[in-house]
Amino acid sequence: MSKQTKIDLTFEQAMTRLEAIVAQLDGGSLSLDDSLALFSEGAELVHICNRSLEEAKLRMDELFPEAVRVD
Amino acid sequence: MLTITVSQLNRYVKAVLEEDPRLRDVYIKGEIAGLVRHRTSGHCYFKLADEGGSVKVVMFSRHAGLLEFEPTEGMAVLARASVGVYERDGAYQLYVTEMMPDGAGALAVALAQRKERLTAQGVFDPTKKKPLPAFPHKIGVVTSKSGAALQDIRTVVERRWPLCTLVLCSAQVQGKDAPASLKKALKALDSVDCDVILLARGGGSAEELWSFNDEELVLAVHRCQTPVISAVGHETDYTLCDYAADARAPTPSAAAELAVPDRQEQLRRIRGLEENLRQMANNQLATRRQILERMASHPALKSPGAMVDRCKEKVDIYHKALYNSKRLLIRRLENRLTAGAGLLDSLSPLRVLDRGYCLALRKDAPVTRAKILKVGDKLELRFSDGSAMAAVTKAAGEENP
Repeated sequence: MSKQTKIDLTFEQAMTRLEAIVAQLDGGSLSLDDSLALFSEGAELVHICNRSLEEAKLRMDELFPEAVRVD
Repeated sequence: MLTITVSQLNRYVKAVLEEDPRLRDVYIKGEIAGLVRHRTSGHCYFKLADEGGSVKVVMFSRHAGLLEFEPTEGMAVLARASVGVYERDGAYQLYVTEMMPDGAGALAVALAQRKERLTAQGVFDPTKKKPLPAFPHKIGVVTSKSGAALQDIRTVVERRWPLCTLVLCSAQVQGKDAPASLKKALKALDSVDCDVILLARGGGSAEELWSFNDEELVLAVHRCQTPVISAVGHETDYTLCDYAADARAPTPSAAAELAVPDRQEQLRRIRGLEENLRQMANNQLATRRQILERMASHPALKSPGAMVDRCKEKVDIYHKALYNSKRLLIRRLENRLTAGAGLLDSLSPLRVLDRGYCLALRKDAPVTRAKILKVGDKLELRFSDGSAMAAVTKAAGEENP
């Protein structure tokens, strides 16, 4: 997974992937290289999740019913 | 004396009554009597009566269809009507356009009836409730732009889950136009990609909250494709929208809490996962390290000299075994040779000569039959200790030559 796509992950997607990684590591039977690669991907996801929670700013939009076609 | 026809009279009276502005828009209290709803047209015919008298009433279907309650026989009502004359019968009657139950609890009656009707339509079916999204990205908010409800929602969402976007579609939250306005805003938000919609209004009197009992609005909530959380008034206030929504919250703030996850809780969850991640990675490393240590402590790696010695020992053992087996083989061959030599020796003609026999040779070939000899043949007689020459003087086949 490239860095660019990582940044595009939603919080929920990142969390889902993170949980999958932990489960995979827990299952064992991985090569050491794969384990370490998963670990560093997981660490990156932790960073992404933390950052998105810490840096998020609530956005407010306004929708005017007149602007939307309603039957 | 002026003579006029019945029709002329009725038309005149009708004109007089209809000209009177006081009779064009009147509110009349009375009890419903002799109610008939025309099966096909939907028009309602009945009388409004009190102790002193009664008056005929027509309510056309376009008005009767808008009634928020089911009129029943004997019900006290307040009707808005114009006064007119039905020329064919020469009878004056009321043309009712609006009507509501009159007296104490009238609204409650109307509400109860409406609720019963909507329940029958499955509008409040608890099994039809849509689940709320765990992590909403876009939250629609239908409320007054200036109300406290909006601020409350905003504050809670900002604190708990600022990862989302609030999309406000403002609406009137009280008054005659509120239901239509709320319905329009709800539909507008349903048509954009909101994950959940909050239908909210701060506290108010029952009358102020009455818009949220509007049948059309309740149906709109029910038909909304997006999950709806209803939060109208305070904890003790219940409106039909609350029952039709996928979730009901006691206040707008509570609705916001229901709509979004809690940031602190999610941060804790991440910390837990991070801890697991480290633990798992450490376990993986520890397992490998154990394997490595086990291998490193193997004698082959720990003291290679001992291994070489052991190998040498083995080589020695094999060497000895080989050597022994070689000797054994040689001895066996020697034994066979000795036995063979003995046998050979016993069979040697020289050994026979030793016992006193002699060997006759003719031209170096042994003579083994008497009849091959002729007289005069020279024979060599070999003895054990030497040879002598002899001649045949008489042959076996020549008795008398």
